Amino acid sequence: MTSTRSTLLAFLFGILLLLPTLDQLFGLTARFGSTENRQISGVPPLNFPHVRSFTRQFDQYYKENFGWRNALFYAYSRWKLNVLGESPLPEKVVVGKSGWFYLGNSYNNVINQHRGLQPLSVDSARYITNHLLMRQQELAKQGIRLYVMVAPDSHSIYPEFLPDRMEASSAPSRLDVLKQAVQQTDLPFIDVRDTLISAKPRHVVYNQTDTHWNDYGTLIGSAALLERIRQDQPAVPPMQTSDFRIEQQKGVGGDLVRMLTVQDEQKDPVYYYIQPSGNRTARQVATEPNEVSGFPSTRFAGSGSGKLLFVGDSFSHSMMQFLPAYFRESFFVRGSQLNSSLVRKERPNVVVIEVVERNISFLGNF
Amino acid sequence: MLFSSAIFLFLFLPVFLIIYYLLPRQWHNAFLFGASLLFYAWGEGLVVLVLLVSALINFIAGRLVENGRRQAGLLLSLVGSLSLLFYYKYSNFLVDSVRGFAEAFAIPGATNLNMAQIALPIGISFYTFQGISYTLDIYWGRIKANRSFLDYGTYVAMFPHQIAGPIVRYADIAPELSDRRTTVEQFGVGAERFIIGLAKKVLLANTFASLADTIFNAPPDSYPASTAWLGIVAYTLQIYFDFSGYSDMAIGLGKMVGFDFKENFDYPYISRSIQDFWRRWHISLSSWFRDYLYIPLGGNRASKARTYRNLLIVFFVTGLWHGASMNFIVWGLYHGLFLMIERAGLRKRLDQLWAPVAHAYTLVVVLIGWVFFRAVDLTSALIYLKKMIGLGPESANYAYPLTYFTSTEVLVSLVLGFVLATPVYHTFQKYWRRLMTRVVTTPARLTLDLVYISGLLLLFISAIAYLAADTYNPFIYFRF
Repeated sequence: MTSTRSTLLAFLFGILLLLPTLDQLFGLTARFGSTENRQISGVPPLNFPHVRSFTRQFDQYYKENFGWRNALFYAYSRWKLNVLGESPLPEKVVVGKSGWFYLGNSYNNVINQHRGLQPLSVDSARYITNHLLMRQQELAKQGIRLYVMVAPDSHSIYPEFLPDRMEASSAPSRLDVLKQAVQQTDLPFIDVRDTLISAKPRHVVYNQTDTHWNDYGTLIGSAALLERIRQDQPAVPPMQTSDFRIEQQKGVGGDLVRMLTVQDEQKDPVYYYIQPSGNRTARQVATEPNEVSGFPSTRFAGSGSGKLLFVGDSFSHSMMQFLPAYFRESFFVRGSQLNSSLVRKERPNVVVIEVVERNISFLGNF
Repeated sequence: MLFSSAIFLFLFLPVFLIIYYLLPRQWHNAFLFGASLLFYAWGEGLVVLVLLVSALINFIAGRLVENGRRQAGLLLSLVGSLSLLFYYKYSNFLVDSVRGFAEAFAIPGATNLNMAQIALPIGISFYTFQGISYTLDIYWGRIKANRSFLDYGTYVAMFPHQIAGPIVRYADIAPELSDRRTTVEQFGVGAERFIIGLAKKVLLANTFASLADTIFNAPPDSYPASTAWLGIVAYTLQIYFDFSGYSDMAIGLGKMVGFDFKENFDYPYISRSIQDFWRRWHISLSSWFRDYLYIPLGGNRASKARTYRNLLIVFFVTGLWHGASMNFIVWGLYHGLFLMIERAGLRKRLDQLWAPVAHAYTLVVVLIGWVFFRAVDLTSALIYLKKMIGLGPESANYAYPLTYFTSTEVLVSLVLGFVLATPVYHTFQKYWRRLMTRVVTTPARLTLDLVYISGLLLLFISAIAYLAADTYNPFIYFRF
């Protein structure tokens, strides 16, 4: 009786060992695509006598390409998420409560930042502030006003849906420490955390399955920024709710659930379709390649006044829907450095630099 | 190449097995030898030559002993094998220790004592011991020397036991080296054992490793005593499932190509004394030390003092064999000390005690010993031990309270770990066999067989899914 079992097992085990090769040859699991957002290694060339480097590269190639790999990850991801209720990749994505997902520690230790395990020292905050003041003075000499905006992490706006074990520290956050240092200067510093938190009861302001704010949150953030600019530049028109038509639709799966390959199952319950109404519109007039960031820069013509140069990260991308209408000209650049020659070339009268909260240390090199 | 890597499982192993089974039997050793060298060289490169030199030294030594030049052969084996082991494994440690000593006593020129880091060839501790036991067995007249370097090289190099053991003695597999048969049924038995080993390694040991690594790598003021206990419990389970998982895979692979390696673990965590623990833990190593070091030293045949001295020597060497650092030496001596205490009378008392008390004593001693094994240095080990008894550095707000780790997966893995560290699987096998003998109809038997096989295949697929997840490394933004 053991004989039958062992004989059967021998054949089935042999088949299982061969299946990955068959999959590589015939693409049996081709529909399970990779969602890794990176270039997967290809077969390395063998440059004799560099055999060691070949074996290392081949190992890497094979583990990223063996047959059934993606299909098995799909199964693993669902097992961890749906059965165990845990993140399949806890360092990449944190599974929160009520369908909320958060960016994990693999990106700039964002969870540790929010748990107060990586506080910003007062010295670092002072260094960043001094650097920004220097930038402000350089621009002021050219008649340009600088505004610094920090887009909050979803961890700060919706901490209530984080897992209990990742509760935020009661100590001042890194952003609090920086804000305190900046407030002792005249640098315009836009922190929209309170604005977004006060808007929460009426609308969801962040995507549940994505790292970014949703379009409603973007609108609120944009309005807060514009309001601050208007304090110095009254000619810029105000942003009013009546400027927009807001519709609620069903959402989609965002970048966090895409990393887990469950974007078709885990979706945002709501998506805000926001369209400018009346004459507060802008038109995109050009896109220019940006070799530094890899994301193109975009030019707009609007119905407002002044010229805006906006250098920001992915959070600024959605702001392009709203802000350009309030300026005569706008130029949006993806990056984490303010290029002086670009400023001289563009000759804006308003420069905004924006970073997401988890990257505020970038401001020390902006 | 690791047994638990995709390249081994889906490229090396199937290609190896297909060719092996297609070749005539007289070619099996040559092919196994060649494939093993390729397996070794894939990750280690030219260091494979160290293995070949070690094998050649002991092969020649064996021939010398058999041809009457007994002392010369033995000397060649011991000096040759051990000097390779010392050079590659202990020379950095020796130089660092001498420098540390010289610096402590302000001896001039101490800081000039430096040596480039020497990479440790994987498996050197195993093949060195295999070579020495071969020569010693010939010297003592237990076996005959092999006349074929190909056959002897196959014994030393064969990939199933090369990386993590068990230490296979030539005497145990000599008949299989010259004549072995492989059957589909035996292949199936090997596959079952291999799958169980792989699941132990990937599903359990890796989960415990991640837990233990997080805790042991965290600053001591970032977790409370309860977390420190969780860390060492996780490591205790990790090292068992990792090591015994590899042994299972080695035994399984051995069966697939016709070899019958001996068992290496016998549920060590159910031991009722440290003596019992060493009868069940890494059996091939402890029996090697017993037969080739403890008994030649005189064992327990002389005075009590000599017996204690011998025990301390054996456990000093056992510690040092595991790694070139003071931690391992302390770990070895710590076990030796408890063996001495047990021999001095504690063992008799333990035998009289209620079994759970003896188990608890053994587990606590073993668990504390693993702290020395796992910590990066002695200072860290002592800090960790202080933390375990609530004396370590404290913090008002711990980053890693116990609740930080209590996920469903961790809890389920811990429960599975506790259960599977006991002979529950053996009991299950016993009842399953009994059930099969009572089932008389063929369809019913076939159904039960299919249920059993499905369970095993599910384990295998789950382990591979975990391996696949380990290679999945997505980014939020495109990275080219």
